[in-house]
Amino acid sequence: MRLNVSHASVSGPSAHHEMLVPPTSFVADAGEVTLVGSAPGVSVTALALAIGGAMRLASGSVELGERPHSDEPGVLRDHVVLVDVEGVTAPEDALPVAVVMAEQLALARQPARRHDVTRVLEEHAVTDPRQRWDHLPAASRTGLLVDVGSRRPGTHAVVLAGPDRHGGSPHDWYGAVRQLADRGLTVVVICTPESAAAVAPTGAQA
Amino acid sequence: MTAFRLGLAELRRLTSSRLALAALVAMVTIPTIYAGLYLYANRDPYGSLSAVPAAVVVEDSGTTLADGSRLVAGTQVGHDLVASRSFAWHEVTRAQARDGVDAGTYDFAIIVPSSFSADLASSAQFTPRQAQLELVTNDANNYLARAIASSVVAQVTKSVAAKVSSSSAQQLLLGFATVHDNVAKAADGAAKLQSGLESATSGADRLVTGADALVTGERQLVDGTATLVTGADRAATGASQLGAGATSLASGLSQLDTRTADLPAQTAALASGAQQVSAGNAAVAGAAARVATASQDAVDALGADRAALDARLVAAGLTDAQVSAVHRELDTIAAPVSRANATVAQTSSQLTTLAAGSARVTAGAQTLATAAVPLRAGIVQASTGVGALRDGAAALASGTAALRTGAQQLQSGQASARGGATQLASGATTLRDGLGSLSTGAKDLHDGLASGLKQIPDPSPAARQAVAQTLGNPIAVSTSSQASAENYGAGLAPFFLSLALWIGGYTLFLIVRPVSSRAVSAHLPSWRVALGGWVAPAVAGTAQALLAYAVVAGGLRIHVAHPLGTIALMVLVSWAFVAILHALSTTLGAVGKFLGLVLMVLQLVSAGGTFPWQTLPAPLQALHHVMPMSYAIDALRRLLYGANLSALWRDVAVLIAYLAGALVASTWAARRARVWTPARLKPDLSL
Repeated sequence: MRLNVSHASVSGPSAHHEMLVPPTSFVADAGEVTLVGSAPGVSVTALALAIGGAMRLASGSVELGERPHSDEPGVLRDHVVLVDVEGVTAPEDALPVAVVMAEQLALARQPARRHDVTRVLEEHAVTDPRQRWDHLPAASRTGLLVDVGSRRPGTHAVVLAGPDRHGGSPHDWYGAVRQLADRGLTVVVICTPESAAAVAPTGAQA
Repeated sequence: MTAFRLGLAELRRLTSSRLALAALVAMVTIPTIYAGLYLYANRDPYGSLSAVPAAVVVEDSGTTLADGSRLVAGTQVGHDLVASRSFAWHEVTRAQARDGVDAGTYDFAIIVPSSFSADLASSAQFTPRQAQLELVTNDANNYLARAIASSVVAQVTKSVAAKVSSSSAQQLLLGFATVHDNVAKAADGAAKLQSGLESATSGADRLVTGADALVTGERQLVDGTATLVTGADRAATGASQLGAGATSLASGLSQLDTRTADLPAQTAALASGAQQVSAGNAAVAGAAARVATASQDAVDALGADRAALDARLVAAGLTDAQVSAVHRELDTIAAPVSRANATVAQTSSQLTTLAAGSARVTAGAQTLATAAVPLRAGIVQASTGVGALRDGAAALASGTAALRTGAQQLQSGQASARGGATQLASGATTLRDGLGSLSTGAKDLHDGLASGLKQIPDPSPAARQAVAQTLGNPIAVSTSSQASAENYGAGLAPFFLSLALWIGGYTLFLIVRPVSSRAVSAHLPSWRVALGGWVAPAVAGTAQALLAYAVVAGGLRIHVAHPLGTIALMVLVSWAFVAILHALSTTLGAVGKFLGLVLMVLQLVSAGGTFPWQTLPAPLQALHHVMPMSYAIDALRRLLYGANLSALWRDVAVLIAYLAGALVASTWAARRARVWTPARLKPDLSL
C-alpha cells in the first residue's frame, strides 16, 4: 500500500520547544524502500510514531492506502509496523539475543518457543544465542528485527527508524530492508541524510 | 504474548546486568531494612528503660509516729526505686538533680521532699496534708521520658498510698477492735455495777430499816440513860447515905461491941436462970396438969355416968321430965364445975404451955448463950470489919458519884447519838432512794452498752489485715486480652511492615518500567499490557514481602499467630500496593511516581498505626477509611496477634478491590499510551 505523508509535523512538548518533526512530506510505495532523512534523536522517533499512527500530528496527514478513513490512526496502527524505534520498539541492549528474539516473535503474534527462536537465528546466521543483543553486528540486528517485525499479521508497511544509530555502514542494513520491500511491503527507513545519501542510488527523498 | 511473558521479559531486563541485578536485590531488601531495622531498634524500649539515666533525690527527714516509732517512708521509696531498676537511678542531691536534668545527664528527676513522711503520717493526727512527690522533667531531653516518668511516679504514688492506706486502715480497725473490747469490758462492768447497785440498794434498804431501828433504839437508850442518870443519882445518894449509914453503923457497932462485951456471961447467966425458971414452971405445970387431970376426972365423973344415972332414975321411978330436969340441974351444977374444969384445964394448958415455953425459953436462952459467944465474936468482927465497910461505902459513894456524872454524860452523849441516828436514818433513806435511781441508771447503761457492742464491728486479726490491705489497694485491674502483642516492637510491626511494603513498592518503580512500549506498540490488548507491566514488580514485591516476613518473624522473633495467613496477606498487600503505584505511574507518569511518595506520607499519618485512628483530625480520619494501608495494617494486626478473623475478610476484600481497581486504571492508561505525546518523548521531568 502506498503510504502518503503530506506535511506531517509534530509539535514540541510545549510552546517553548521547537517542533519535534518539521513538516515532512513523502510518498512510499509498496515494494519500495523509501529513505527519509531526519535529524537523529527524538525527531526520528516522533516521525516514526507519527507514521505509525501512534502520535498526534500538529499538521499534515499520513495516509496508508486509498481506502476512505485511511488516515485514521487505527488503520495506521493496525497495518504499520514500527521497527527498532528508539525508546518504543527497540529491544533491550543488555538482553541475550535469544530472549530478544523470543520477545519479538511473541510481539509479532508468532510462536516463540525455543526452537522457533533457534530457527530464526539460524536463518540470520547468528551462532551464539546467549550473547548480548548489542554485541550483534548492526546488520544482523536490523535484519532480525525487520524480519520478525514484519511477520505480524496485517502488516502492510514497515517503518525502520534510525538503523544507522548502531554504527556500521548503511549498506549493512539496506540489504535486509531491500528483501523486505521485495516481498511487497512498503518500507520506510528514517535515517540521517548522510546515510540516505550513502545508499542514494536507490533514491533518497527528503 | 501473555501478561506473564511480558512480566518475565521485564524481569529479564531488570536482571540483565550484574549492576541491574544488584539494584533489584537492593530494592527487594529495602522493606526488610526499613521494617527490620526499626523493629530491631524498638523491639522492647519499655524493657530497656533501665539504661535510661534518672535521678532520685531523697530529702525526707522522717517523722515520729504517735506510738513512738520512726517512719522514714522517703528512704524506702528511694530504695524501692533503685532496686526496681525501672530506670538507671542515681541517688543525688536536689541541686545535682536539677542541673542534671537541665543538662541532659538525667532524663528526669524524682524528688522526695523533707516533709514526705510527716505528711504521710499527718492523717493519723487529724491534720491531713497530702504528701508531695516532685517530678522534674525536661522535654528537651526526651518527650516520651516525661510520659514514662509520670507513669513511674504514678506507680510509686500508688504503692506508697497502698502501704500508707493499708497501715492506716490497720490502725483504724485495730482501734475498732480495742473499742469493741473496751466497750465489752464496760458492758461487763456495767452489769457488775448494776448487780452491785442492786445489792447496794437492798443493803441500803436494810440500812434504812436498821437506821430506823437505831433511831428507835437510841430513843430507848436515851430514855434508858435518863433512867440510868436518875438511878445513878439515887445510887450516889444511896451510896452517900450508905456511907453515912456505914459510919453510923461503925459507930453503932463499936458501941455494940463495947456493950456486948459481957454478953456471953450475961446470956450464960440468963440461960441458967431460965433453966431454973423452966424447971419451976415445969413443976408447976406438972402440978397443974395433975390438977387438971383431977378436975377432969371430976367432970368426967360427973358427967360420966349420966347414962347410968338416967337409968337409975328411971329405975327409981322418975319421969323423963324429971330426968331431964335432973339433967338440967345436973348440968347446972355441972356447969360451974365444967367451967371450973375448963378453967383449970385452961390454966393447966396454959401452965403447960408456959412450961413448954419456958422450956423453950430455956433452950433458947441456952442457945442464946451458946450463940452469944460466936455472936460476940461476930460483933467484934463486925466492928472491925465495919471499918472496911465504911471505907468501901465511901469509895462506893465517890464511885457512884462518878457513875452519876458518867451517866449524865452518857445521857447527853446518847441524846446527840440519837440526833445522829435520826440523821443517819434520813440519810439512809436518801441513800436508798439514790441507790435505787443509780441502779436503774446502771441498768440503762448496761443495756445501752450491750446493744452498742453488737453494732461495733469486731474483725479477727486476719480479717483486719485483709480489710486493711484491700482498703489500701481497693481496685485490682484484671485485663482480659482478646489478642496481645508481646512488646512495643510487636505492637508496631503491622504498621511498619505495611509501610515498608509501600516504600519497597515505590522504590521498585525507580527501575521497573511500568508499561512495555514494545507491547503497546505491538497493539497487544491493553489489559494484557497493564497486567504484564504489573507482573514484574509484583514478583519483586512478593520477594520483598517474603524476605521481610522471614527477617521480622524469624530473625527478630516477633510472635506471629497465623504465619501462613500473614505471609499470604503480606503478598497480597504487596501486590495491591504495587498495583496502585503501577497505576499512578502509568496514568500520571512522573507526577504519578511523586504521588506515590505523597500517598506514602498520607497513609503514614492516617493509618492509625501508632495512636488510634480516632485521635486523628477529622480530615485525616476521612482519609483513614479510604487508604488501603489502614486495611493492610488492620489485617496484619489480626493475623499477628491472633484476634478475631471475621473483620479480616473485609480488609482482604478492600485490598483486592484496590488491586483490581488499580489494574483497571493501568489498563486505561495502557490504552491511552498507544498514542504518544511530545511531552512523553521529551519530558521536562523524568523520575
